[in-house]
Amino acid sequence: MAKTATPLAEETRDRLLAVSTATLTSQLFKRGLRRTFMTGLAPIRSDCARFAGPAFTLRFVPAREDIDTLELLNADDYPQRAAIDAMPEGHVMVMDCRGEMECGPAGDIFVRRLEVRGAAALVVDGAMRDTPEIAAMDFPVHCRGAAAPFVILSHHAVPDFNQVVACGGVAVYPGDIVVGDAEGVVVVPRHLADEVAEAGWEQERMERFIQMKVSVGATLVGTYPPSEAVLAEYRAWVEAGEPGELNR
Amino acid sequence: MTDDTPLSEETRARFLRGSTATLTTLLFKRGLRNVFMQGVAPVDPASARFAAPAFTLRNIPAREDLDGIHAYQDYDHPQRKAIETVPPGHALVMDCRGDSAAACAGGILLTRLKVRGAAALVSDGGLRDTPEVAGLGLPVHVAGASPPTSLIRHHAVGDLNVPIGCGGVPVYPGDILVGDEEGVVVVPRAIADEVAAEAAEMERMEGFIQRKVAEGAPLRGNYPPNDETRAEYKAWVEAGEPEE
Repeated sequence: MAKTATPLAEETRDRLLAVSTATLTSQLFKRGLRRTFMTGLAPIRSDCARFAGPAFTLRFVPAREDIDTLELLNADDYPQRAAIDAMPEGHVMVMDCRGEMECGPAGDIFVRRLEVRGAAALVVDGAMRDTPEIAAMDFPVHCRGAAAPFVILSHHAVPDFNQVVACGGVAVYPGDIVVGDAEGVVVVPRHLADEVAEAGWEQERMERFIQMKVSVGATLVGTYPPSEAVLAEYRAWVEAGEPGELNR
Repeated sequence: MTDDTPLSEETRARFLRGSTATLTTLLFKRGLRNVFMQGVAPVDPASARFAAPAFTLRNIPAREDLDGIHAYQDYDHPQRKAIETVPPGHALVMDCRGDSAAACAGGILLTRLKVRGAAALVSDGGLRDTPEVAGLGLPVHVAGASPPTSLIRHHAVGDLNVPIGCGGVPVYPGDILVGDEEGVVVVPRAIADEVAAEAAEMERMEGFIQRKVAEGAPLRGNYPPNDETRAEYKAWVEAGEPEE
């Protein structure tokens, strides 16, 4: 099931980190992919650090009172603990919590452990607990909101982790590239990551140019989208070394 | 997690006579609060009743490059495979994440399911061909009519018969699903026999109380029954449950 081990090239990762999720959704739309942005998720910190990394997934089904006990939660092989220790560095942990908000599947200690293990981010289709403490960390966490009760109140972690999951209405296959910024999270199918990163980076460079033109009075008509004349002007600007460009 | 203990005919018959309402109360007595599927209802109330072990299929959101119309050219597509592998007497349960913007199945697949001897189809997604399905005589409980093909929203996952959520309720393979005109309740396999036996007794007593209340008895002393009413009930049972 699309468990690709192809590592994410450093160049692709750098470009994805420099491209907004807005641009990425447009690039994916051009390739026929319409449902790529996780609906209803937001970063715990509005000044959230950008991230890009392959998905490593954990799935939950609704809890059952006789199964999801403290004993299960405290067992060494509890799937959440097993998943975090099995996850390779640089990956994004994606938790499919079915959008349920009754409890937080993880809190600040879990997040700290992820950070220390070199994870790129945590993305949760549900709530998180200990959000004030998490807001004080640099590690990016995107979720649907806050809930104080702990995981077993309404979630049962399925032991067979790193399978295909749903998150924010988007399909996530293990190894897909998950990219986040202050707006939210977009999922880039692994096989499209390199070309989308390249095309997205190019789109952002052109948008910087267009932004500069609009700032000095250009009308939208003819400029955005760019006419042939503006495209020629853009190419000349690129060849001239992008003078006076805004910060990348 | 899978419990393959077959469902005894006696337990099945008891479930079929009882109501899902009674079962939710009996499960609550055992500490289980989340057992009735939300937003799932029978397509045809006249063929809503069933009691059967669960065989599950999981769906995640569709992706345009993977879930095109070509996907159905594959006879081994997990949705087809689930229909063709669900054991006779089992209920096929589909986790559609409560998304009813597309169908989880339609008339031909359900006809095949019925011919194969499945007990029911249960899904928290939509269903197409509902007028046709309503006349099929197969118990079908879904989140409503939704003609668009499943590929628009759902990608069936190849790993069949895994734990899922359906209508907000956990479903483990082998759990006993019981359906009636109100909907579907999930009974953990390990307690199915005792719950069915207690349900039969509870239904019989409630039938007795219902009759008394219809004849003018007040709730106090009768519902719940006090010792006097219980004695009266016991005598009624010993007398062979006479109509009057």
